[in-house]
Amino acid sequence: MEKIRNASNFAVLAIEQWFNRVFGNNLNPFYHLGSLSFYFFWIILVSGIYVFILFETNVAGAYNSVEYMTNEQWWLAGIMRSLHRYASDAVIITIFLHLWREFSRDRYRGVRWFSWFTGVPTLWMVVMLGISGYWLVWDMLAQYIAIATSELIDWIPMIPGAMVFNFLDGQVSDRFFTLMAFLHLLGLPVILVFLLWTHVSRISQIDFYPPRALAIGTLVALVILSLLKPAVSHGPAQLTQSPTVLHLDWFYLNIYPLVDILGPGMAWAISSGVTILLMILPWLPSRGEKPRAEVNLEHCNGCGQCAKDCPYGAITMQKRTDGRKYEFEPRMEDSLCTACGICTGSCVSSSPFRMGKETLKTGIEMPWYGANDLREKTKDGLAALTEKSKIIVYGCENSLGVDKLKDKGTAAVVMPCIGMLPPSLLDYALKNGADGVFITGCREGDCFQRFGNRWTNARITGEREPHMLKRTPKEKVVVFWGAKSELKELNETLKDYRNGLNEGAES
Amino acid sequence: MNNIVRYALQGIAYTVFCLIIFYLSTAPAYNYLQPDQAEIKLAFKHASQRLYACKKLTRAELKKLPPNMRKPKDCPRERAIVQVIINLDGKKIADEKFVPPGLHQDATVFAYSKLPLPIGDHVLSVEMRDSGREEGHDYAKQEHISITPGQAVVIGFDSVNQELTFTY
Repeated sequence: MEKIRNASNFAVLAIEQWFNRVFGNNLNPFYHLGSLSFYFFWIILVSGIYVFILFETNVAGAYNSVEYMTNEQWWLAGIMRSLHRYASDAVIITIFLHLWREFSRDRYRGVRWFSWFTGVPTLWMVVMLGISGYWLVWDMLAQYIAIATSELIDWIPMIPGAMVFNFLDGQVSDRFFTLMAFLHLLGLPVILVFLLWTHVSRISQIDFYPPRALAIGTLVALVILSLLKPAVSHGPAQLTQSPTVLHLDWFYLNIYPLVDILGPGMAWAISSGVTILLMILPWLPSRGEKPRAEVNLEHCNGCGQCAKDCPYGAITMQKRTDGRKYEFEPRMEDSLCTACGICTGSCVSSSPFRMGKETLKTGIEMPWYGANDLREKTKDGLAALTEKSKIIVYGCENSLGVDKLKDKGTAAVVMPCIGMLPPSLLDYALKNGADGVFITGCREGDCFQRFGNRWTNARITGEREPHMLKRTPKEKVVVFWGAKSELKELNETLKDYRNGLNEGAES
Repeated sequence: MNNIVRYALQGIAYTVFCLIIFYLSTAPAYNYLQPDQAEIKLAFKHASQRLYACKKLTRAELKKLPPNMRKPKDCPRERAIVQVIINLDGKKIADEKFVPPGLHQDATVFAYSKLPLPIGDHVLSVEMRDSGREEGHDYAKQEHISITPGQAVVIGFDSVNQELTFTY
């Protein structure tokens, strides 16, 4: 599995690198697949509401009302109908890319299993919602879907009766059609909203909206597509006829040819098999998680920055329990913590200048790797350097392998996420012999732990607490964000930086 | 990379995204039936005959039963398998058997099956057994039919008149 994941990640990183060059990191659509999916749901909702105003929810009127929208009021209702359809197709693309990306990045196992696990039924609900929408047009395609869906449902042994008989005696009852309309317009969307809420419930600070430029770009693209290829219906449903040629929407209706060719039993077996495989993927194999962060109340002033910075909402603030003068204290939810260490980086008590020669303890840190380890590694790493210009590199374990950069003039300190780096450590390093500090981590906009590089950037520029000390010479701090595939560029940047330092020293 | 090139490449990325939707939203076309085909749908609900007749219980047999379960007749619930044989122009094209559902195999059969049918003039004949018999039939129907492309011929069963029906 690891080999598959690594190969897949290699491909994803290469594609994303191209998009970074073209769109820039902030607008790279691959970094906004979740928010783009939400955005497409908004387009579906708004266009759907307009289409519903003109739609007749009865068997006799449904087809004609859709035809009216497409042919008579093509300039608005027709575009809305097309947008409704194409945004639905677009959401399938973004969901699948999102799924592929999270798998490739190994962000679906361990603590993060929940989002993956709940994403699978969410995807099914989206598909069911799409299928029920096609049903409402009540054309030959809808008739085909209705009958094939009935065959699938009738195959289930525990369900009594035969749904398919609703479509054989020449006329579908309005009652049945209204039920389908209810499912599409209210029943399934409500379930979908609940599933989406569940899907994102274990992460914090969710981007529900993509960047404006990306939102405008995709909307314009979909409108142009709607004008170039308006969504049209097949002929009206006729239960005395069977369809011959069907123009299926393969994003949603791909299961139906399977039903025809292999039978409903095999179609169920394949779809259930794929679903179960996807759902158990986080445990094939599961990831051994490191011990979670722990709160050390005697070093905590209850400022709440750790709770603000935690990407997974694993920290909440509660009333102080130790009787000290502070109002709040953090409370850890172990099942949400990925042991990224970002909380240590956000804690003011992580300052390496505290506690002199004693073991440095921080208000919140992992028992196996804390601020003291960072301080000791910095001190020892710098002490071992023999070259004139000494550089210390801080990097995360999920992007560039900074350990490979170690040499006579370069020390390296690796941490679970660059967000763990306390900004005051930069000043500490410069005061303890470093001529320059080099910070690396995942590509901008794409942190393995969601916000590590974003918070680090903001702390260095002083936009977020705890910020880099004012006395720290900014020119001595260099930042390089990149993925494994950019090791060459990292080496070149580091080399240039070293040359610059050497030249400065000589002059 | 200058901005003009970047914007041009962004346009290409949006175009590729839309082209995927453009194509897969309706293509490739799927031929459910070939242009020279129609379809037979065998579809009906039918409670077949019971396999065993009711038997009057003797006084001794009744005595063995708990008082609240004593009834004069013992009627086994199991129903016969429904068998449907479809012939087209004298040639057998389907022989379907439908087992009554239920723990006691006693519930109504929901028969459903589909067959492709070449267009043109045909003699369609259907025989049905619902009494457990091995030979002959309990119901039969034969008709000359003229079939056009995509037509659906539904073979049903009228439970009121107890006869097979063809709807097309």
